[in-house]
Amino acid sequence: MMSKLRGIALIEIVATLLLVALFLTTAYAMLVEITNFISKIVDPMPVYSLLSTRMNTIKKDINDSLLFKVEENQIHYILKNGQRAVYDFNQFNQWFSPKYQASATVIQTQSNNAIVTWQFTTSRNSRLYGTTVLKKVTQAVPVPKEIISTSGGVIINLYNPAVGIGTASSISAQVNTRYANAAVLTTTASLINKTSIAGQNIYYSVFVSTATKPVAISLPSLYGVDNSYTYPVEVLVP
Amino acid sequence: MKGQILEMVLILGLIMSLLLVSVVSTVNGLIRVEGIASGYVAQEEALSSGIDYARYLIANGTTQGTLSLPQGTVEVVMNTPNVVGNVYEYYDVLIIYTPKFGSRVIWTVELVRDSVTLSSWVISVEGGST
Repeated sequence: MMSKLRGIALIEIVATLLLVALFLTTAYAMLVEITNFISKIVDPMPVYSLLSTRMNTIKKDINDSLLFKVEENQIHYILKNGQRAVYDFNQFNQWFSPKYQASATVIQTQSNNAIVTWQFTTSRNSRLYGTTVLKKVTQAVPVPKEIISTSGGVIINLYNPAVGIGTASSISAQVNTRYANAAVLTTTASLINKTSIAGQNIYYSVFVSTATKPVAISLPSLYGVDNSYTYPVEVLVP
Repeated sequence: MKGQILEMVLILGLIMSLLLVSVVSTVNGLIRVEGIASGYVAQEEALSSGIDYARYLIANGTTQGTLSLPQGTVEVVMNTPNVVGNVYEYYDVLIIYTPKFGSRVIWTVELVRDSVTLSSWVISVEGGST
């Protein structure tokens, strides 16, 4: 009877120890997994935050530009005032702290977007990698933003500069002007207010030569630096 | 004796269940944090959808509306247009993206429409988070 009781007690102790061992092992394994998981996410967070800020700046610059182009891992873009600027992704590692090993590659997939593939290795040897799409949402279409009647004609200031009027390669065109007495005359509209980018002339205004103030002008297509264009319309002169 | 072993198994089982629940909860929270990366792609989609929706609203003669997307909602509000030459309508459009997780993103978009041919163009975008 006594030995039977001892046997049962022994089984009970062994079972208890096994359960405790199982519990401790499971808890330890989970703790290690959780720690690794948290480290993997938290370790690259500061650099990810810096990267997001940088990418947002690049996106804004590209959106505000007239035109952008990717060449040899560099994004070349032209500002509205005609100035040229560049983001060099060969220098990507210099944008961040030296404690990160960083590299990036940029390719242009369409005329209005580029894809940046980037990679970081942290000091704790965690790798962070991904892609960012840089999409140019804006278009550089030369829409009229202001129509001013002046001596000798009408000046139409453009929101974005134009490279052509009537056709993409012409800087002047014959246009119809309508007057209060219903008369319609033909006159010359010329692109003015010129600057130059990369050997190409761009113009910020249209001058329509008229002897007297017209009521309306039949404006032909205006072509922008990114090949976008307006359709022919009749605009009223205020 | 058997009763004591059963009792111990139940107690340990309960402790492990509690541990498991807290682990699952922590991992879910961390997965949400990790979702920040995909959030940036979602933002691009939200902006594009917001612009398309703004064009739709203009075509329907309304100035505001809300769009539901899988990743959140996009609210579009715009002012009465400034008209140049009786043809070019300039709209200042506010696009407010509220994702299911994370902070709101607001863009100000300038959109111009030619009221004769109904062509429209986005000519300026400014972004910011709250």
